Amino acid sequence: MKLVRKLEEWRNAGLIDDAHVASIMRHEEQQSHGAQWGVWGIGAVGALAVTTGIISVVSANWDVVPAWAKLLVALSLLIGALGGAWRTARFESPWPRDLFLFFHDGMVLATIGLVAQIFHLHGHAWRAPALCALLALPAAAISRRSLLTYVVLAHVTVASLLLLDEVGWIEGQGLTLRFLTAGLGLSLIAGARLLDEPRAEIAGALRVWGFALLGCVVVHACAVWSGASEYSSHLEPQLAVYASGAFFGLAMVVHVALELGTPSTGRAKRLLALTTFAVLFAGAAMISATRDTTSSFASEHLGQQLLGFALACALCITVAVAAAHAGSQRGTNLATLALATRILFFYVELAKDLMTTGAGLIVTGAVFLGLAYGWWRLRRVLPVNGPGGAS
Amino acid sequence: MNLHRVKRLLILMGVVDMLVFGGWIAHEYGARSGDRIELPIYGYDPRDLLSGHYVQFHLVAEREAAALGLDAGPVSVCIERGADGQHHVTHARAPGEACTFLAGTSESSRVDFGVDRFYVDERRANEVGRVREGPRTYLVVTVDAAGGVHPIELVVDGKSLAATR
Repeated sequence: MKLVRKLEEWRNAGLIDDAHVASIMRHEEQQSHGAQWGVWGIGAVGALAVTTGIISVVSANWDVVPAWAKLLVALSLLIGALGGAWRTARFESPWPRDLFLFFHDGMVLATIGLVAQIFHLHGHAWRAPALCALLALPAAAISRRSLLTYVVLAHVTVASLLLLDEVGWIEGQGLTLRFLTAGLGLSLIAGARLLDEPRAEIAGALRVWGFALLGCVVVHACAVWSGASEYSSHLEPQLAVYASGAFFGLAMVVHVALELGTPSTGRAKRLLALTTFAVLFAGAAMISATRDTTSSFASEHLGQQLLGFALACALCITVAVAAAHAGSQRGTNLATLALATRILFFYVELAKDLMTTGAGLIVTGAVFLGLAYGWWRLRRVLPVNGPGGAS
Repeated sequence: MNLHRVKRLLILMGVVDMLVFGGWIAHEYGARSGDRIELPIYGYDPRDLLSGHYVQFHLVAEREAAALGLDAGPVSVCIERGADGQHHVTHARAPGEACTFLAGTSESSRVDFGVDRFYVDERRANEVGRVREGPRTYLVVTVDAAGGVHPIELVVDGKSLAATR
């Protein structure tokens, strides 16, 4: 206010004109915006320190502080966080409000833990993250950033894993878990398409989380399904395998329907990628289901090993090609590395003695060198898309 | 999302928070207001969890129920006060049978009544580590109408370690 008054005086005195006043005001606004960030940063660190301190003091005096006082503090912080979000809701920058909502999400989890400690509760571990996800939903809807959507997604993922573990669906060779994870990943990506228009930030978070889940499944499937070592000798419940497989199939169908129902370029390529993914996934699943778990010697199941190896390689190549088309050099390199590792392990799996191992490694080395040479030649011939782009 | 809608959602969040946590806390306090019984425990295992110190233990009732050879799945067993003043499992509860009972689940010849830990003060955690099980070591609980067990107090060697106030 002081500056505005001074500027007004200087303009009236004819020392500066309107253009100067506007420039100075713009400059000062930018400066104050930077200063606001600093203030909010210091404030956030202070609030975090106070909260952590309160938790530590209460923990250290667990017996001295009555249960009602501990609960009152937790509930006060919980509602206080919402109060902070209320006070900052009218600010131009959404960060202060979103930080308060993020703090609220954390306090929900902390309060659940506190109640469980005070009343000595345990069991049904999935309920805590499930309740957190539910209570964090409105915050994600309010926020203009993806951060709070990630909080919900993390809680949903953890709750699902704990629930599956509790009902015994995670035991066994992991077919159920991988089918469900892939199905969830595909569902999130499908959901992102529907939310693209109204809520781009939520759609973005769903897409990233969905692809991350699919990535985890692909990497783990490559490592486990076509490997010689046994993941587990327990058989999975048939119901679990069929139900999760059906969920995965349904997610695939939804994706295909969305592709067919949305006019866009590159549809054929995406449908081909989806089909390839489904075939590879189902093939790997079948190998896993038919593998004899009583023996760990790869040579006794050469046919399955070869098929598994071929599927793993095809999967890696598919990901590498897709990443290259998407312009992700890092993705291409990671997929190529996974392919190389798989080839190396293939020889190790088949080796019966030192001679076979040595011969295998020599052949592997030669193949790698050949691949490297071929890659280098291709890079020299093919056009490069630009900085960071794959050739 | 406009400011009015944001504020409405914030109010809704506050109301939901109070209903969920207020209701939960009220329920837990209510569940501990019934008749108190003593359940003997064994197998101390003092832990240091990130969230605080707690003692992990087994109810003797678990061992007694397992000895009944119950089928896998939900089970309920009747308990009665023994000569030692503590409650012990007497027999598997028949549907509709009127008795004080514990409800749990049986799996792989193990019965779980949903109680296996008690949080204690940081300064008492070390004491717990040195305590041995015995006749004067038990858990004070209330049992609700559905056979659910609600811990109130842990007594070790006749000395109360902590109580929910």
